[in-house]
Amino acid sequence: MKDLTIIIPLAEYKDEHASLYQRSFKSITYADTSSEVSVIVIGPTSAINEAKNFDFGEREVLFIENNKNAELQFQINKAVKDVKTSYFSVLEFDDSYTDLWFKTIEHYTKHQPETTLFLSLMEVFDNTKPELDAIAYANEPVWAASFSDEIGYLDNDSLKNYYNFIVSGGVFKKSDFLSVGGLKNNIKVFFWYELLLRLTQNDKKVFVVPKIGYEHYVNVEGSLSSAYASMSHHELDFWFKTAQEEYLYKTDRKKEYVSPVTEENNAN
Amino acid sequence: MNEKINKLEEIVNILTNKESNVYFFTLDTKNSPSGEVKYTYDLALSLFEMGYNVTMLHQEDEFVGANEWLGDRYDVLVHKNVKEENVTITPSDFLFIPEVLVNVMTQTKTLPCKRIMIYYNPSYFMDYMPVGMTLSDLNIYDVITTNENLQEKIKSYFPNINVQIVRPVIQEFFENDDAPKKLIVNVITSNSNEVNDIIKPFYWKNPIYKWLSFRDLKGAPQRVLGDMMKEAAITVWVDDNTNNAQMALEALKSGSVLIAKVPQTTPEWMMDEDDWRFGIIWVDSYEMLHNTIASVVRGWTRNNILDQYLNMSDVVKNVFTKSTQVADIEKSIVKGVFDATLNTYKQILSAEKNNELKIEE
Repeated sequence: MKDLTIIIPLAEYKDEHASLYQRSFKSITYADTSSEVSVIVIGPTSAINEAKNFDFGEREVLFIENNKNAELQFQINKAVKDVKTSYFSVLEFDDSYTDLWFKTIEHYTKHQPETTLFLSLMEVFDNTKPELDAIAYANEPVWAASFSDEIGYLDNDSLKNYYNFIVSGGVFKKSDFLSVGGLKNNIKVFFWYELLLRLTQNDKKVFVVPKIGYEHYVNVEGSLSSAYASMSHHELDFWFKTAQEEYLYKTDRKKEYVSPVTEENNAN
Repeated sequence: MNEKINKLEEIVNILTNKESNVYFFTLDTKNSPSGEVKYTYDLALSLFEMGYNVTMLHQEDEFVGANEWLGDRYDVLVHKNVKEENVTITPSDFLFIPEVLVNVMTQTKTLPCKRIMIYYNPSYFMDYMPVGMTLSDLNIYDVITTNENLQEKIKSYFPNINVQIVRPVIQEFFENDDAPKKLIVNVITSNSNEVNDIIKPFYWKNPIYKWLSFRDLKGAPQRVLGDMMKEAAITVWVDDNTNNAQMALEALKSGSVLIAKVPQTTPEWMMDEDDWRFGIIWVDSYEMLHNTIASVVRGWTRNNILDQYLNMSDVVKNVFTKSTQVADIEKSIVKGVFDATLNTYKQILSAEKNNELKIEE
């Protein structure tokens, strides 16, 4: 699929990332057998230097060194500015695409040109036990008969009842992503969820392609989302509620979490 | 005597000029879809389009008909209620009666026209035909049926009956298109218990698929059925006593991957070519069916389904088409019944004329 750019946001490089890079970067070559997609790799210098060792074949690749802010949403927003194609997709370096995913997506974009975001149905694997079958599906609820107004599509109401959609691997229409304001740097953890709420609130169509296009691995040390694993329940709850309030606004309003301990200390 | 010859000549002229009335007695299923009713209407419509005077007969005070689920192309067919309207039957006419209407066959057995039984559903015939009664007791010597299996069956009961085959027709809107399929599993069964036997245990055994949507196709109007079949990725078909497996074929024509429980009698079209048998995923029990649905769903979501199961719409596109039915009607009804009747009357006329000559001599 020519009209597609893959954005790969990276974290500070560690030796154990080498095999993850191999798995994830190689998956682009299996998903894009025609070598048509473009690639943007963004991350700290240590990660970029390592990524440059990978052979992306004849694909156009742009490397962006970013030592300022390693957060996923910041890196994606920054990389999108350099996307020259109509569509882009985010590949987390600890995940991978499945074979021929982009050919599938091309078929769907041809028949559903009005859709803003094509998510992938996913099988979720436990990275500590990769030999086992999938432990769950992700993004599957839209294919249940009564989940949303139109089978296969997300809508704002159904998102209020179910938030656990994995957006990485999905294919965005760049113009719609930018028109709603992109990702919000000030929203932690639930920034994808907030974006989904904002997209559907603005009548943008979000569809889950009923094909396994992306393999998401949980329990990966050093992944960009692993930092959230240490968050307290209270903080997670704060960001979740913030997402549910902030989607009504296009602008990225400043939000700050204050822990109960800090609050108590301040009060005293 | 002259009067008799004149009447015979009139009958021969009417038959020769295709001016006979062709009547089809129909059930009123109150807009509930029925394969037999569709078959009857398709025969009627085809003959109408071939230039015959076709009328649908019924005896319902509040006839609802089938146009809502069949579609408006059948609006051209005239309907008459025999209880309220005058229907004059002459020797040059033909009356088609479905096998379920044994009472009508009995009531009409002294009519002067040729009467033909439509043998579509053998279980109806078994249910309604009284013990010891034969078709010849009802003055019926011609039968139209849909396939060789049924032809052999009815001939085994009544060897002296003329049994002709006219295959059913599947409407042209049961077709595949290029649009991506939706992950919906259509279910085609002969009764509601079977739907439960398929779906409920599947979910219990495969909780990872608790989100998967199943859709029971029973009762859907034809056009809606066409759309539903076209959009669904997978179809499950369970019908132990099927005669034609028509809905299975509609699913294949629509591009759905078909999982089929082996029926007691396999329809001929499924056995005709190896491609057709091997392009269907067969199971022989509900247990196997549940496991197979899970495997097929997983395979389909991973684009791992073999082409032989995905490409069946091309393989079966020429099965049960309008043109094959018209060709069958030409052979089995026009030549097999109408022309045969004409020839019979010609022979009778000839014999009468010879008799008159002898008398005059």
